[in-house]
Amino acid sequence: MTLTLLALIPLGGAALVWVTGRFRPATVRVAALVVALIQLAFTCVLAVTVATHTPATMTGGLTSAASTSFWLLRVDGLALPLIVLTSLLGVIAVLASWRVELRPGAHFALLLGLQAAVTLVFLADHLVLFYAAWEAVLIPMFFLIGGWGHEGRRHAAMKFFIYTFAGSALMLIGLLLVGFTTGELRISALSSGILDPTLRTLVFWLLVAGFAVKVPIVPFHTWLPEAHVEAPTAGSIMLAGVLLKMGGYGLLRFALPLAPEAAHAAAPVFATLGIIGIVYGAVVALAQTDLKRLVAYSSIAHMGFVVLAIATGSPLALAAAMLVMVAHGLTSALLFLLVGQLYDRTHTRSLARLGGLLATLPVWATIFVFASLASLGLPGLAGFPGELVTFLEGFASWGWWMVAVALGVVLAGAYSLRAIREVAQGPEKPEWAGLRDLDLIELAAAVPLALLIVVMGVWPSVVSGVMDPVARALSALVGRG
Amino acid sequence: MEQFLPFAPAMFGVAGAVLAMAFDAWESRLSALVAAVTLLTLGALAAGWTAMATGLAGQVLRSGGTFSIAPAVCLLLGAVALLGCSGSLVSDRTGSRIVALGALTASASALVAASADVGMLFLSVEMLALCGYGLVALGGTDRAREAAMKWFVQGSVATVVFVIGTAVLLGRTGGSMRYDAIAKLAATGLDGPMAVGFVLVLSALAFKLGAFPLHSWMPDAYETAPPAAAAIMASAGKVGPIAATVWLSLAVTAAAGERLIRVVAILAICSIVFGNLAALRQNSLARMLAYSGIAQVGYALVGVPMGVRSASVLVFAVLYGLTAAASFILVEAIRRFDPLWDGTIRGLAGLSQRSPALAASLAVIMFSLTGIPLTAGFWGKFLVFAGASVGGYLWLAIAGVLGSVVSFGYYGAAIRSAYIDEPQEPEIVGSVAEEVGPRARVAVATVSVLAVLIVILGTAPMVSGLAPVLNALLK
Repeated sequence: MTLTLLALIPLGGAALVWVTGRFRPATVRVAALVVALIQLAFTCVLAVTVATHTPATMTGGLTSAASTSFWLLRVDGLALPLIVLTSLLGVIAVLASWRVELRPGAHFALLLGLQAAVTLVFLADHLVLFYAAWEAVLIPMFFLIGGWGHEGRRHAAMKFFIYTFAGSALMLIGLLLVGFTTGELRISALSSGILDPTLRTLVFWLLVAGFAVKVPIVPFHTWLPEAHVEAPTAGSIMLAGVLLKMGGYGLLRFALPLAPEAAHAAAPVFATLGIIGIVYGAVVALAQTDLKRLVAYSSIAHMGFVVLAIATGSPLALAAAMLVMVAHGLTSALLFLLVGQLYDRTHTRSLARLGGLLATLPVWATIFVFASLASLGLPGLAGFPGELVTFLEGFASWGWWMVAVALGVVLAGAYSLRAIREVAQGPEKPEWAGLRDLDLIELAAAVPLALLIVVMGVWPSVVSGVMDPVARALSALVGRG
Repeated sequence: MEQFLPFAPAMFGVAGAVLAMAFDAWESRLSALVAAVTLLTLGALAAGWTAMATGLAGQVLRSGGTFSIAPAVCLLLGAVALLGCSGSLVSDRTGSRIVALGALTASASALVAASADVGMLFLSVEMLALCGYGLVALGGTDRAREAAMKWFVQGSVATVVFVIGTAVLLGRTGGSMRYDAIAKLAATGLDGPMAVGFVLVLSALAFKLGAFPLHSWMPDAYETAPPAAAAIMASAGKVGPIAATVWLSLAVTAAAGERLIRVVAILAICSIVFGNLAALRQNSLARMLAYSGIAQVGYALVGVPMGVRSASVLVFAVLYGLTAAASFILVEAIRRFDPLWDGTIRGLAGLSQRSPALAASLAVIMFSLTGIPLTAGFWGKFLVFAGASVGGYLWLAIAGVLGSVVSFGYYGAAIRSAYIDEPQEPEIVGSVAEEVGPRARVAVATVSVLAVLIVILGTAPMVSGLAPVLNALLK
């Protein structure tokens, strides 16, 4: 029941907010914020319960009662960090869209609906429910991009939907093969031995098709820059912050345990694609002239670390994959939030036109510098531990190929510092002289993220500790334990 | 007496048609409509009752048993389509004739679905076809008459093919044309003549379904026919033939072996590819729906070769029928709501501001036709593709899901127009909304109710599960 509430609070909240929007548009945002805060509080209580009272192993965790219904839910160490991240970014997304004036009721209802769907993806313990939630995520996101996005939203919304739908349609076939050849539709009951060995490689690649598009793994990333750039700020935050993590979650939850041999065999391919993603994302980010595009491409690079860590497959590497996912969830959300706040003031994201903002918008620019440093992986901030462990563990498995990763890290420094230089530093521009700095609501969105980035930087085991038992079990399965 | 009971449901529909014709003589179109809708609903209830009851099986019609709800659904969809389009049916001069032929179409389709005998199947398919020609011609325009004529000529060829196929089967079985007699004979080994007869009958059904390459009558017919007619033909008129294809294929699947069934598989994949690609190119909403209907028939055929699991096709057909009816009633509703609408997908721009209810229904219907979860359409595709993936037709299932992905290119384009695109002439927005008469309200209300139903059918199984259907499939 408690788990059901986790999905129902944002869903009910969405309905409530939508109704409110029809009668009292002015109070919609407050209602949405209250719902998101309740959800966050509830999630935190649940997180403490799960982390302290139940063994968060692959088959353990908090589980709903068995029944013939599709509504089966579970929280374990793999899902927990991502659920907390979703609830947190849910609040941030509401704050980020505080000044939305265009149909606010629909906007906040879609945001909360999106949050409900994503939470359900991580909660689902039934194949059908999982797939339904996975696809349901597309619907609010499609409308958010299309209804509240920027100039290219018309095209971006369709492209986002069709690309990710193409991946997940193949994933559906994979899930159907799993469910209907084994007769077991309950996810927690899908152990590694259950699937017919002759089917495993096929199922593995069908599932990977869905997850690879979502992560995204290069070369299936082409939907990402457009969707991120055209989406409204709240949409970008949810997209980069949690939607990409669905891909990593899927790989860890389904692809690895169901077909460990295939995963083992495919590891070199994934490692290569991960490394390509790290370097490619960084190189392309370096070449951008649009700040939001730059952040979007940096996401491809960071998610490359997740892919590399999953391919490496050691217990530490898998825990690092989770660390990178959560850290990227925090930093990219903060960056998109800041870019959105800047765009609200300047109505441009062009690096050439920006500059000198440390003088004009000191608070904003300080947080921006902080977020950029977090994104490049500065020690002591969230990005560092995960990427460092991925690098070290990768070195053990893949040897000198890690030089390319090091190059990617250097390039990450280059594009982050370039962004800082072009946006924050330099002479003050008269064009932006009269801008007002961040107000209380905007600070309320940005500061918690910044604090959490520090917390995760100095105390990474708050995440990796929860993930650890799952990481060990998975790693043993793929033969790299 | 007992053996006539299976006919009762369809007879209600026929009675409705007769009454509608009688009222037509009195120029009382509203009475005609009410009579037809009432009797079709009664017929659907009767069909539902016979589906529950066992031991009613007549000589030529089946009834009872799991998945035998198709006839009831045909009749019900007929009633819903007539109700939804009541605005134009009451106001147009030819309204009562459309009502009468529509009721006959639904009844004929119910008989097609219930047929357990090739002879009965032939008669009911011909009845269905004749009503169809008339319905399209009632569109009244030159294009409509041309489309009806084109369909009639092509349909005559299909009739001949059906007759020959029936004759071959009749000669081979030596008298009985019941499906079970054919099955019994097929079980002893499928010889040449038998296979030819079966393929000929199947081709005639494929023509009726509009499967590629026997589809070319369909887009013209659906676009030019009165919306009520299109709604009935695309929903009730499809459920019957799909059900008949399933039952007939089941009769021979056991023994037919790979070769025969591969014909269906090829038809399926061609329909999916062609229907989707052609629909992508359409500007007119009704025409897009017609072409996409070819692809939908393809998805249905994906499930046919699965033997016992082909029961999933009936679930697909019922859910598709519901959504297709809703989609054509939607066309009617938009037309009545917005008389200046030019019928194009582009012209839907700004619909979400003019009529939130219509736009939301449109989104639900399009998502359902694409097969996105939380809508009824998802479960149909889910079951069919599940059957195909584990039944040895993985490539068909993959073709099916990829086709669904492509289909969002045009279904999604309609949603995009309604929600995202700005209307080109914003000044007409206010003026049109005031002219919405009570008849547009009936159409809008019907579409909205159907959209809610589609969402309920799509979400309820999440909580209730699908145990009986899944058990039948997992066997």
